[in-house]
Amino acid sequence: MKTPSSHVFILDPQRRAKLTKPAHLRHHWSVVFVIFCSVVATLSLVVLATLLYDIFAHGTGHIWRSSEGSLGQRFSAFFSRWSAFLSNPPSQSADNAGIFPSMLGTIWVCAVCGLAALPLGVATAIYLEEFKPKRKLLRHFHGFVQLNITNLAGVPSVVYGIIGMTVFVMMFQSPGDVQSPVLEFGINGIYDQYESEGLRMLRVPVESRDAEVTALQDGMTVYDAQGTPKELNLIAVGERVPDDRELRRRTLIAIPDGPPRSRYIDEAWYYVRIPFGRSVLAGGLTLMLVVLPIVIISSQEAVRAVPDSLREAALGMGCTRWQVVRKVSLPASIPGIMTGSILAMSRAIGEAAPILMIAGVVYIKSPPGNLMDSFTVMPLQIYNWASDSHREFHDLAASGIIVLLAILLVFNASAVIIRQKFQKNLG
Amino acid sequence: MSASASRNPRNRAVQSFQEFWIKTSLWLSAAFSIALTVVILLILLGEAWRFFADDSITFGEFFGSLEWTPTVGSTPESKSFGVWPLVCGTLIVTVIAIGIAVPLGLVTAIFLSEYAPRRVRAFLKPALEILAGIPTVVYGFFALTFITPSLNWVHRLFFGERGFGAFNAASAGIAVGILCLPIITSLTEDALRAVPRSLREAAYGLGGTRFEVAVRVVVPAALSGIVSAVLLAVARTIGETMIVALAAGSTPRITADPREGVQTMTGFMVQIAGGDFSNFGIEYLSMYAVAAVLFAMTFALTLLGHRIRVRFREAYQ
Repeated sequence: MKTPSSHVFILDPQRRAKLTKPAHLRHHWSVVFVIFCSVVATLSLVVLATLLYDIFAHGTGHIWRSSEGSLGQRFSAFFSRWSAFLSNPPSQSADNAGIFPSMLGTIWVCAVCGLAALPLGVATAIYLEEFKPKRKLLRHFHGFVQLNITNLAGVPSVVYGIIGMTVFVMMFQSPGDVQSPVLEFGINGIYDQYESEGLRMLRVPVESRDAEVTALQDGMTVYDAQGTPKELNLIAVGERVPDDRELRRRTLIAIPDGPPRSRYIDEAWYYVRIPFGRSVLAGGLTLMLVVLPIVIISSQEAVRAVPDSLREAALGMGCTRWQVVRKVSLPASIPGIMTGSILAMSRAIGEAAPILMIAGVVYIKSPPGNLMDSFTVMPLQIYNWASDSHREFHDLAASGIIVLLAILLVFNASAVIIRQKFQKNLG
Repeated sequence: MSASASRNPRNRAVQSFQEFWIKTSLWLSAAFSIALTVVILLILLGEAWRFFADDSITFGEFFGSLEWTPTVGSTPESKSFGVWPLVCGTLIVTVIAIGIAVPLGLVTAIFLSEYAPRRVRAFLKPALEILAGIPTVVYGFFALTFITPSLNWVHRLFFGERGFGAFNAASAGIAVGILCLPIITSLTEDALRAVPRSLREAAYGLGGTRFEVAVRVVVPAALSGIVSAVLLAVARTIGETMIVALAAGSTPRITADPREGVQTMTGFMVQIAGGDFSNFGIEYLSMYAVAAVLFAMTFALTLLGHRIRVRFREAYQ
């Protein structure tokens, strides 16, 4: 006997069939849905496989196809092309173009970015997690910072690029520019640079950036590209160029308005100037803005994972707040902070949009020599090649992507290893 | 060490000074993030103000005109600054991307959190993490060299001719959708996993099938998390730059046809900053105005997503 009070039972079979589907249909539908879900979920694997296939087919296929001969010869040609790709500067011809300057550019920029973002990010995370204030005003500040960081993490990187361009590259339209900086430090010398008849650089020292051209005189001391002093051999127009190689290398022809020259600034490795211009420092600091929220959020999570019992034990033994941080929570959360930081840096390595705003589309032949040098990074070089209208540069872009992905793989693998090796269970 | 330090009053003074100093510097680094926001706002608004202060530019033109031709001619009079073509380009890419990423991401997340056996999960999660870690310029390349040719192949199959241009909104939108897929999946999965087991068990106990438990109980319970995941993904899509710079083209136009090339707001900013034009001209300042619009959109979306997650979070414990 069924009692209506225990549960509702619809007696009319037609109404019941309308309200509830038959059980076997519901179960069929459920099985279909689970299968559908698993098929859709596999789609991400398929997409990943297609992506990698497309890149490897473009990035290695052209090298393999262009090599000839026996299998051994083809392999050696394949590897010599790859080593050339890793050590050559970019070039107009796709056959000997390489990625070397942009690889070093990436290292420089990411070093600047890491050195700036890590201390700042970890300090902010420690402040937010370990120094929760008691006073009302400071508590509001605390909550505001937290909300603000969530918002900063959502700001598109291209907006950070435009901010970096205004703040670091142009310094709010400060009066100077790259050619005549407001302030500079670390110049070894300023020279007028000539190309001699023996195709060697000859440098004549001058006083300042905008000084008059020093008049050339026969027998005056000039410097070559290595900085060794030499005696200038000035000959008149129409005079025979000497046959002796060494003499020809320090020979200039005295054309009436002076031989073609350019002003050369010998910058030390610690050269700094204001404004920064489109330089490594500006690029690194801009990337710092991009990854700072990521570093803060991941460090916060790492510090939060340290159980309160450890802190309370240290506080109970008479430690001050800072001593607790330095001796207890920071050592315990270092693996987590490192993992998060490495992942943030791998984001920085792959970031192209803000760097494109800072560095512009430029052709860079040599790696940066100081913080004020112009530069390019790997994603930007890849972008340049991929946006080229010639198909063979697309293959170069794919080769560059393979190198970039390999570097990212190393970074992510080290993050995983650190996480697994050093993360102790403190709970 | 600390015990001896606090016994000696002099050391204690040193210690409290050190404590104060460290606390102040930590406070300063936290204040840096606020200063950063203020600087972003000041620069974008200040430079956009300079843009609108120009005689030939009006607020009404910027938000009323349907023409975006900042690079035509040399005088400000020959150029037209109506932001809608750029907004339209962003919108069409976003619609395609979200239309792909949300259904796929939602279903993948349901599978991962509700049905997936542990061994399948061990494959799928890393694959999604790898997809999330791939630089966007790689997706741009993929869109250019794989998605567009594939779309043309499909188009030829149905219509007998290539319909997609070398640069088109569809390929960029699909690539951005792939980029958003792991974001939506992981955020949604977190939200689904936060739904307590007791709710599922109650639903199973009432005779619910696996489908009914997932779709009628777990998903509604996690709805706030899912909505905020979608909003964050939309914000990410709007701000995405390299994919659209590579694959969407650089022709600002108002269109609903995904086969045509469009220019997005981010694409325009990259084009100007990439050095095509002389600095400090009116088109250079227009970049800040576009950036301000972009910033306002993403800021509103992020804030809204955050609010929804905090406000409508169902606390079960």
